[in-house]
Amino acid sequence: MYKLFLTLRYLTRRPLSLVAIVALSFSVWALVIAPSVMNGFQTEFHKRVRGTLSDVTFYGNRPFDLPEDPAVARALAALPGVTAVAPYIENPALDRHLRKIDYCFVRGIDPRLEEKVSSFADYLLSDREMFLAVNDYDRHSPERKADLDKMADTYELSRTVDREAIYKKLVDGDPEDPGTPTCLVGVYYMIAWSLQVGDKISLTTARETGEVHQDHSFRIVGAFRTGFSENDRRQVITSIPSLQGFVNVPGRISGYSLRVEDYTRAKDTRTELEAALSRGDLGRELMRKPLIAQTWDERNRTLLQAVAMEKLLIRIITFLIVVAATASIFLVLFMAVHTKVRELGILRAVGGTRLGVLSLFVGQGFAIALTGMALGLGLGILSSIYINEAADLIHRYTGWHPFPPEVYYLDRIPTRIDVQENVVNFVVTLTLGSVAALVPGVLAALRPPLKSIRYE
Amino acid sequence: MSEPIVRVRALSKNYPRQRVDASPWARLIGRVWGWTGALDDWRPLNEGLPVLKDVELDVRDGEILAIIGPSGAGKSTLLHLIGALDRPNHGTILYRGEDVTLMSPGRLAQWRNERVGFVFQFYHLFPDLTAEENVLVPAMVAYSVSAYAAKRADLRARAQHLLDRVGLGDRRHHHPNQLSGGEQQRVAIARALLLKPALLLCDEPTGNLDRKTGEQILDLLWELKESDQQTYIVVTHDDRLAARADRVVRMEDGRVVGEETAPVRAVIAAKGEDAEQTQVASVPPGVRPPPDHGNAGA
Repeated sequence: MYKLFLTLRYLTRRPLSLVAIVALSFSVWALVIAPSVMNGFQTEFHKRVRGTLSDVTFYGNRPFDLPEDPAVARALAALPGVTAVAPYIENPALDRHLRKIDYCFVRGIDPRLEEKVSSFADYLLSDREMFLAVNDYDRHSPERKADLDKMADTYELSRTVDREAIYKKLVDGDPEDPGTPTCLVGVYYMIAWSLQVGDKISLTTARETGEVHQDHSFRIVGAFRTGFSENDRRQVITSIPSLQGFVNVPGRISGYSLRVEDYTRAKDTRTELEAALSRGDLGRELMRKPLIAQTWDERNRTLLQAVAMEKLLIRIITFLIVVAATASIFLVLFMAVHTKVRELGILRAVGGTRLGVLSLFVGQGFAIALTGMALGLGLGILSSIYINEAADLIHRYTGWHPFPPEVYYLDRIPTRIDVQENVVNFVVTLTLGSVAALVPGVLAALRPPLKSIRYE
Repeated sequence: MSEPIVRVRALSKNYPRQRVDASPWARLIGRVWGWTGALDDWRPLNEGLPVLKDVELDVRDGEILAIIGPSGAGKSTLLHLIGALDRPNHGTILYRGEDVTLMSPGRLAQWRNERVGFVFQFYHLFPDLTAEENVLVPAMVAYSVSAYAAKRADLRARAQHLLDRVGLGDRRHHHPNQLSGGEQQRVAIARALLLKPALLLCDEPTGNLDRKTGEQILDLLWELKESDQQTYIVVTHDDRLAARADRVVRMEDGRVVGEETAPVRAVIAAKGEDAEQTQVASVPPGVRPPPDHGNAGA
């Protein structure tokens, strides 16, 4: 009985215990909120990576190694689990605007097939979205935003994307300028060069023969925003025949994009593909070529690993904060051993055992850890749920946006509370708290009662 | 008188004293480990300082035995050994025929809880607990949460009864820092008597109190003794206390040197005229008594 009674009494009457509880609460709060935001970002990031890439990509070691052969596409589509196949061709190019030269990547696609293997169609912008994007809508104050909205209404800019019209212009050319190949550009590309739909860009590339093909014009018929700044800044999308004409490789493509039924099993499809290739199912010509099949996560391994590493680092750092906070339990109880020496002696004199004294301290450590953990966990979960409301409040009263939408193209801070992760946090913190209490507890328990009573 | 409740035979106790020729490292290790008591008798570090030398003593059931003697005579050490707060180097202490020195730590704790009550010179109350809670501590140690909950009403009634008897019935919700020295000692006495121990061990119970308060405490102890018929062993410098004991044992240089007879005690009592002076002398040198708050006026 005395262990429970004295534990509760010491906890409630000693301000230092409250300090330890508060320290632990805040560290656990950080331990919950930081990984939950990272989880949210990771989920969002994966979604975007998967959106811009197909589940499996099949391509050659050299730029235009594969033939544009419907039989190959059919053979790929026949692989188990494959739901769609789209050919693509890509090549780097230099673009010249006035007197400035920059580089970009030109990708030739069949938009109607491409929309089946990636989220390409979702990234196309409506006229209104394009207008707002090029006018830097996200960075502006609410008043300026209202003005831009009003202007967009005045110009009667469409809120919907007419995908079929864009595809038609991309594949068949713009009726206003027949004969000029057409393209789609990323929204940041437009902003960087002050372009708009209908403008022409001039690209230069080197062909396989070494010949430089200069100033090939493409007419912009639309824009897209993937959420990846590099894509939105450097990518130019055109039709496959347009790019084949540009680099002079008729009938050849760079590779095929495949969508599979279950993206988590993309590796199985890749294995099947490799097996089919070695069996000669894709044609004897392809058997001899060094071809590569990669899943979406393999193609972005470095990037995904970087995000995972970042998440791991944040977890380690927040965990170290928790360790530091549990050290405060150690200090509080270590001080308690010194300040309560006589009481411990009396406790032994009236029949308390060594184990009882030990459990008195471990119990206090456990209670501090449990209370701090519960408070921190509750605070962390609440913060994760209401983090956007908190960010809005900060923005409203200080003018500073803790999470600028234009940085990640996210209107809201993404969070995802991982239950399993938090259960581990819970168990580890409680264990650490109890272990931190163990050392002072053992010191107190080993102290002979007479020494405690005579302590001055 | 009845059979001895406690028999002490050939009891010796050496206190460890660090060897002057111990190396600095050995001293450091000794200091760190010695703090836990683990290396008290480690020979390379310590040499024994004999405090008790072959002490023989019988304590009869129901008597008040006073142990007197000059400072450093080993009185308190003997009392602590009888109460099993410390282990002797040699000898036996029999409590109703059972050797206390051979008890396991768990059994010893239970024995202390059930059979022995301690009253110390400096009261040693729990500052975070009220007077009533302080009195209830032995019961909290004795019972599990469920057992304590079941007996709570009875135990509180007993604590209230004891506090009433020591004159603090209306102060039970006060914390020690709200009580005077005499009042704190009364709470300590009530705590020691809660579980009706057979043996009450008092180490200088009036040593830190002024004469008037000390006398009140003595009156209280004797009054309680009359009604509860327990055995008291009292270590004291206080001649008035010794004069009222059933038996007085004198110790010198770690040995029991004799038993005072009634006429001698009468002389001792007559000598203790300047009791205030005796009080000051009874505080061990170098120890400053804690301030007597006196806000309640003992």
